[in-house]
Amino acid sequence: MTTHRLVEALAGTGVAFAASLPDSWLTGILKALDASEAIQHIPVTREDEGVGLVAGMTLAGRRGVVVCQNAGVLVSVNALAGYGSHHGLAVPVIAALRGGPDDGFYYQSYKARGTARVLDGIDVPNFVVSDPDRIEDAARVVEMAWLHRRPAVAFLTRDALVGSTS
Amino acid sequence: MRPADSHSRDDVARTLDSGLDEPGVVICGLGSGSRAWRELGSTRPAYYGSDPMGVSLSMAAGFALARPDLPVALMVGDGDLLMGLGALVTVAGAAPANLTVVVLANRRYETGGGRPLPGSSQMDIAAVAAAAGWASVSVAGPDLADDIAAALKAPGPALIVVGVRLQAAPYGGPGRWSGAEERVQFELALATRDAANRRSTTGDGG
Repeated sequence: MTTHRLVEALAGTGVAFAASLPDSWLTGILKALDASEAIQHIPVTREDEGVGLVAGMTLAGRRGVVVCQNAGVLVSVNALAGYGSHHGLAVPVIAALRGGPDDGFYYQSYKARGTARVLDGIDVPNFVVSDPDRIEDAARVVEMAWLHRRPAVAFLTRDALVGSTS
Repeated sequence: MRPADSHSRDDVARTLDSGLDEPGVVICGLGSGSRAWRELGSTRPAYYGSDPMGVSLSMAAGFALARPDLPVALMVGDGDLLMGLGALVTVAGAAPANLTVVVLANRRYETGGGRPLPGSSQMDIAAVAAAAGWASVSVAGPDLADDIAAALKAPGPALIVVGVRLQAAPYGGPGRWSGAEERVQFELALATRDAANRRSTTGDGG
C-alpha cells in the first residue's frame, strides 16, 4: 500500500503524533497510522481541534501532523490563520483533495474550487501530490511548515490516495 | 454540578500558581484566562494560546501529550471552552494524564462586553466533561486552595469548574510583544529551565 510509505515518510521527518478526522479516501492512511509504532494517532471531532493539538505539540518542540479532508481545512481557517500569522507555529496538514476532476459528487466540488485560494489568502503555503509513486512527497509538508513557521498543507488527489479511477 | 461560589479571577490565578508543582507550565485561553494570568505576573513559563478562540483546550492537550514529563494547566474561560466543546471528547480520548483544566465560569463573554453565554442559566460544563469521560471532574466550592490542589493531584485529564464573578475587562492595548514574539520567549524560557533541570539531575554544573 502506498499510504504506508507516506506514514513511514512522515515518521522519518520526526512526526510523533497525527490528529485525524476520516474521509473515505484517507482510510489507508488512517489504518497505517493505527498500525504505526512511531506515530501516536489521535482522532478528533473537528479538524480545528487537530490544528490546536499539533500547534501545542509544536510549542513543546515535538512534531505532529493533521490528516483530514479539504473541507476540514476550510473548517480550520481561523485556527490556521491565527497560528500562522499571529503565533508563527508550524502545523503541517495532509488533506484529501476532494472535488477535483477525479471526484464524481456535486457536494464535493466546491471544496476543490476554493480551498487552495483560501489558503493563499491567509498566507498558508500549499501544494498538490497526485502521483501514487511519489506519495512520500507529501511528507515534505512537515519540513515546509517548520521552515516557514506557519501551517502548510499538502493536498493529495484520489490517484495518490486510492489509485486511478480509470 | 454547577458552581455556586463566586471567586475573583485573580484569586484563581494566584491559587493555581501556588498549587501547581514545579516544573509546571500554564497555557491560557482567550479572555478571562489570559487576563487573570497576565495580571498575576507569575514568572512561571506561560503561553497565551489565543487568538484563535476556541482551540486553547486542544493546544494545551497537544502540549501536554508532547511533554508528559511536565504538569500542564490550562486557564480557560467558559466562553472560550464552549466554542470548541467537542474537544472535551477528543481530550478525554487522548487522555493526557498530566493535564489539568481550570475553567473560569462567569457565564459571560467577559472581554466581549459581558454578554451572557447561550444557555447560560442551565448549562453545566462539569456535567458535560464527566459525560465525555474525563478522568476527574470537580466544581470548586468556597475553599478554592483545597479544591484546586485536589484537581491538580487527581488523575488526569482533570477539569475543575470555578465560579467567578464578572469583573471589569478593559482593553489594555496591544502590549509590548506580539504572539510570535511571546512564543519565542516561552520556548526560550522552557529550554533554559529544561537545561537547568538536566544539569541539576546529572550534577553537571557546566
